[in-house]
Amino acid sequence: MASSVTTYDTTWVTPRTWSTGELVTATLLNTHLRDQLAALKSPGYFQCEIDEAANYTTTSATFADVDATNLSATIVTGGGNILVGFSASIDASTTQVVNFVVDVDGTPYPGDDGIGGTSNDMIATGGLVSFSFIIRGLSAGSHTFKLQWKTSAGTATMYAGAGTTNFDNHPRFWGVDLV
Amino acid sequence: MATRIVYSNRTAPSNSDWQAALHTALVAALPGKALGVGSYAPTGKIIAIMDAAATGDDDNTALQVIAAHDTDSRTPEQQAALDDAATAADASTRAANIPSWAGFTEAEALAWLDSHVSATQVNAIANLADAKAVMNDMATLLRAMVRLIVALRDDTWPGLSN
Repeated sequence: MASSVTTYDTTWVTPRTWSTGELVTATLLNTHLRDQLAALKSPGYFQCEIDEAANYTTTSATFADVDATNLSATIVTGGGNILVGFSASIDASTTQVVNFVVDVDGTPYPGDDGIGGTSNDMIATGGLVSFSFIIRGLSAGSHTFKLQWKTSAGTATMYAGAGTTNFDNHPRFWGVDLV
Repeated sequence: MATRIVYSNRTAPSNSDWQAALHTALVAALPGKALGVGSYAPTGKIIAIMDAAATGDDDNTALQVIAAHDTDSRTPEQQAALDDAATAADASTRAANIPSWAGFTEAEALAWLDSHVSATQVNAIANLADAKAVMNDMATLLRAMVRLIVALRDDTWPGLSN
């Protein structure tokens, strides 16, 4: 078993503004037509897939990294919007709320208490937490995306493929550049 | 508030309720600097969640608290919940041990009443010995009722007796 982080950088570049009478060369066409079409066909993305021998837990009521190595990825984006998503099975030890944010270069998205929550139904039984949303207006260039979580009380558990009966689940954290 | 993780070398226990007591101990030792505890899946080790402003000395203190902690200890709330669960679990056993009455159907229970403490027996009392016999049967009935009521109480509200 082994977690993995797959990344692919966006190759999109700012489209060229052509001038009347300008000579269109093979080099320019390859860059601004061929390569740009290829960038649209294969946008930048990342996917974190978790498969570990133990599960993640936290008692922190302040957002903190779930796993700065395996639930974190750095990719080059083309500037604009990024679609991010996450899914995992979460267990609550008591009546509590478990929340998540996507930290991008130190800025949490969304703000306040982020996304998510649990209910009494997840106490010692586990339940699916899943979200996807668009992070808007990122600059073109390299960005680091990290999954963070917190709990309002008790202990939150994220099943991580550790073989827990009926909860041998594998979290996914991913993002794709909406070039 | 920015946070960071301090990774210990201590393996997290396999039971699911060790975190609460360690959280309490760590936050008490480093108020405002230690924010919680957890476990890091790739290593199975205990971690401390720290305020990003915590110092290296704070990290060392956190690691010492983690290393010294008895992971079998429980918070008062956890212990109370364990005690309540034990009381409730024991209640059905105690109810099952009430002679005869534990397994009586309604018909059998009424038949016992009719043959021991009904109006028939009361009206037949002719002397002190007869009266004592009926009252002794009533004592037996009351004793069984008390045991069953207490078992039902413990099953329904285990915290009352703890």
